[in-house]
Amino acid sequence: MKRFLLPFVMMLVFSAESIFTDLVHFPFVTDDQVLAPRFLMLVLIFMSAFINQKHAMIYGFIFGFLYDMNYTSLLGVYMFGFAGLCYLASKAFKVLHTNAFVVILIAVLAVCLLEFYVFGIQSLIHKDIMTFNGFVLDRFIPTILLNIAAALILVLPFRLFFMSLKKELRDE
Amino acid sequence: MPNKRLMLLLLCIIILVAMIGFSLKGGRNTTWPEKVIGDTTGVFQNIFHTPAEFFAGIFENINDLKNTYKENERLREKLDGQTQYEAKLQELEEENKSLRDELGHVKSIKDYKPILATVIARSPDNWAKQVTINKGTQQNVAKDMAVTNEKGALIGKIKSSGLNNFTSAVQLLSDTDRNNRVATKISGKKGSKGYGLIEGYDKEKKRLKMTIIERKDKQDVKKGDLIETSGTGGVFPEGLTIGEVTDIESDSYGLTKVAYVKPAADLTDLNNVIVVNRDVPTVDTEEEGS
Repeated sequence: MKRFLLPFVMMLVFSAESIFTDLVHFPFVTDDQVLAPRFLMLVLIFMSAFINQKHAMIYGFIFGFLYDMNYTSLLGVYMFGFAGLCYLASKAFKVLHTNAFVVILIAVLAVCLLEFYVFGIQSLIHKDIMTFNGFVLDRFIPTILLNIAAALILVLPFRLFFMSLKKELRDE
Repeated sequence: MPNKRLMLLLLCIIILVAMIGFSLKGGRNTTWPEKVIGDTTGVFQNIFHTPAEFFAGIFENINDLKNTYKENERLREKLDGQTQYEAKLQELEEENKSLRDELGHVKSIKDYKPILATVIARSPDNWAKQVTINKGTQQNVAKDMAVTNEKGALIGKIKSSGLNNFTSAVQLLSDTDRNNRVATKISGKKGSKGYGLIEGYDKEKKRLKMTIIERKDKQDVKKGDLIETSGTGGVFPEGLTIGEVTDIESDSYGLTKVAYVKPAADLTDLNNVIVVNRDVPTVDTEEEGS
């Protein structure tokens, strides 16, 4: 049963990102600062930690593709970004324990890498879209703080869900 | 097998570059797989967005209640003058209509049919400034149409690469794309002052950059002048508010003047929007493209 629930949950996470940017405005965030929610990245890393590499990479690929089509005008960037980071993360989880703390650490690290990767591609395409200093101060730090908070909140419910899903997959 | 992995990695990079190259092609239209996928995700976005918006609306309403008294006072003062204006407006509109009838069926580039739409998603990665609306080609939305907010202030245009059957992507004015250009009309207190061209968005100043192309009778463009669409760009109708001038500078060669325009619409808070379908047929873009 839970296996069929998974795409819907991922779709919800996918939409939650855009709903967050559209409707949530924190009063302490100035106009210059950019908070980019990366809930999908976080959940994909949780997936590679608690289910397996294959699931995480396939979902990363598909939802990255959806992300590219719906939210950006550049095809391919998130598709390979999500799948690649899931691959690296699951390599890391082969040697690391998958307790909540380590998983959060890896997930936040993945968000950092993703931010720099997308920044790199954007500055390749549009010259002087943002200076590096501006990127780190106005975009990178607020985004990481937001995603650390999101990871802390999301890790336990998704751990429960993914663990039981893995059990179900193993039983079959 | 490290060799096989290396090959795979290289293949991925090649595909990535090819896909980016494909999507950067200027003014490309949506391909059919994109349309199918875009419409399907649109359904989900609609389902999840509607209740979220409802809850956000409740919080907003509570905030609004606090300011109600002050606003009421201010509005009452304004209302006194309103009836006068309304009568005058009606008179002028009737006169305009009768004059038009006398001339025969003259269609103005000011006329348009509004298509009401709701924002169902916003790009979360904040690099591309775009929102998705719940109307597409089935509701007569076409590429490059102007989109305004509820008050009629311009917020952007329909993206040609994001136009699906039931949803479409709106490129906001604050997007850094070089193709984000709008032909404008500058009007001061005493009427038209000339024409300009919006050439993009200045991220640091948070203003639209407008080159002043033509000034009538050498009038100077001043701070506070209103900027509207001129309708000469081909697709946009005339007279949509864009914003007002806040700053004027000479360009780096000292040949033309550049005005910085503050958008009248709040681009971060969009809910219901209007897609503007101009009555006068637009020039075929195929012919233009040279």
